[in-house]
Amino acid sequence: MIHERNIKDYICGTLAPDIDPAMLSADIDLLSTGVIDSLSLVRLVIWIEEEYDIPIGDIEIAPEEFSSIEMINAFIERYTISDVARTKGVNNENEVELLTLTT
Amino acid sequence: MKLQLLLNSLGDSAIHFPNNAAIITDTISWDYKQFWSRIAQFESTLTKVALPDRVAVAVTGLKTVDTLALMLALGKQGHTPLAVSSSLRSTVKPMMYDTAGVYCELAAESDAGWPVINLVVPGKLQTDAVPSAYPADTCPLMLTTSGSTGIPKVVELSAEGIGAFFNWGAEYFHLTRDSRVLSYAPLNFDLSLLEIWTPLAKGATVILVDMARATQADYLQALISDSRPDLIQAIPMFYSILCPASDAYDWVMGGVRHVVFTGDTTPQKLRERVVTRFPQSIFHNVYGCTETNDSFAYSADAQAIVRDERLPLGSPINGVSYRIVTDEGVELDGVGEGELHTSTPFLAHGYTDPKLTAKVFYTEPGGYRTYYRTGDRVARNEHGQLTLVGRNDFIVKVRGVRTNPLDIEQVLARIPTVKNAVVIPVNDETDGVVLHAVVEPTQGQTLDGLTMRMFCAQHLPQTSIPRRFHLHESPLPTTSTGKPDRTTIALSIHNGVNLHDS
Repeated sequence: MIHERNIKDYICGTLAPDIDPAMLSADIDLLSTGVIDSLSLVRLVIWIEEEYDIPIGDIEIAPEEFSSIEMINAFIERYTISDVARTKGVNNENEVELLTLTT
Repeated sequence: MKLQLLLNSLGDSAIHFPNNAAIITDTISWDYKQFWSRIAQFESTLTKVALPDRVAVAVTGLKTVDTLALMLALGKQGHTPLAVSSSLRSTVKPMMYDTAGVYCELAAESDAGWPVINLVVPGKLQTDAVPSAYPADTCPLMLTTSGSTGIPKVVELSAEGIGAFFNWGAEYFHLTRDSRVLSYAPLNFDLSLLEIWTPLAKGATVILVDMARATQADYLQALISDSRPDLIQAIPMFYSILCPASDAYDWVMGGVRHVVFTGDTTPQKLRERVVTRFPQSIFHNVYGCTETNDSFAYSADAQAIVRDERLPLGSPINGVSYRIVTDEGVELDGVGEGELHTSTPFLAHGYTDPKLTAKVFYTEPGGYRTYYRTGDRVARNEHGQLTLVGRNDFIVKVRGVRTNPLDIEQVLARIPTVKNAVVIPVNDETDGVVLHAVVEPTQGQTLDGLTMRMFCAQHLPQTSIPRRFHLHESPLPTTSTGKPDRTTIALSIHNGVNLHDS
């Protein structure tokens, strides 16, 4: 997962500094375990918007999309891939994948 | 909701104003005729559940048209719905249902447009439950409120009280058939009486906020802009999300007539942000409890609502009587501080457990009015103005939910590697009350924030999971009587002294 480290650093550095990043596996449910509460979720979404330049205001989102590091990573990949595709004028799926790997 | 006047009113609206909007969601508008027939569909589906006569039935699930229709269908068939948070732990439910005499738990859904009722917790006649002291017909709705043992207390509302509340709410906030009311709070909150049940009883329109997007500022701003409510009532968290400090978009809502702050103290800085967005609204600070419903209201224009650092409680609502009782147990006469006791026309019967009722409800000496000890500490100044000082006990409101830090400490103490734990509520300018847990590990043991959170998540509501955990390697400071020295510990959190994050 490309963004796992960055997401984990933000969560354990800012939202829940009492959690050891090494213990926070990518599939833990962040919402039901209280690692992220509803107000922290707002901050997380703003951080993703700014850090990855994703116009979240224009996207239909649901809290479940941020329920684990895996899910957050998938969300970021989904929208940064389409950004890459848009800016580079690429439509072919394979080329998108290649571009993602090289960016 | 088993309230004949509400059911009659819905039926009347369906006949005489069939095309008026009853409920608006993001995707669909339900007029009164459609809503009334949806209730009938759920009534018909309920026959498959085979409920005994006149039982209490827990209803969970999202705040949807179907959930509301199910609650009304239950009422039409003589059952009393208990609105339960969908995040209530499954470990807590059986204990709560046993003591409250709840028969089963249902949830409403829709499958390709057809009503579906899910039996979440199967039916069980609670033979050990203490029978209610009131005739079933006089309790149309039950709500929950936090209990000192970690199991929510079940409050039995009264038919007379709810009816009186509908009339007060409609009159105070000028609700007519043309009014639109935004509903943000979950169904199990007493706020739903003003946001949902009052407008429906008066033929007005309810705008349901999609709970899945309730924390998105963009969504809330667009919803209010598009649906144009006349009345918005919410806890400070809602306004904090709706009007973020760093909002670059310069939006103003001119059409909202009433903006109500409730559920907790709304900080002055937050109020300043809200009035810039609603410059023409009338603002209200409304105080109440689940047991009494609204008791005090302070209403002011945009200029006046931001003037005071602490908002006054305002005047007692028509028909409300109150007493301030000092620490010595005598009624305060004049300036001073004490616990607020209220008697309102909307008073609940009590809890399903009469022992709990006897602890906090009493009839005034030599009088006939029943008072409720709110547990809230208030101060009265020389002008007779009341302000909320805090609690007489440890209870705080976290995101609108009454939370007892002692409950959380008891849960943390059950972790084998925890020797002592103290939970301190800290007031945050933006987020309201934030819970910090200060934990002393058993000697030689290690602890981490994730394990403690996961343990809390198994045994407590989500709002009770502390946001921050601090490890305290040395023994926690105590008072001369051996109790945790909460003042020193709170100061340590504030100063970051002798504490480090686990």
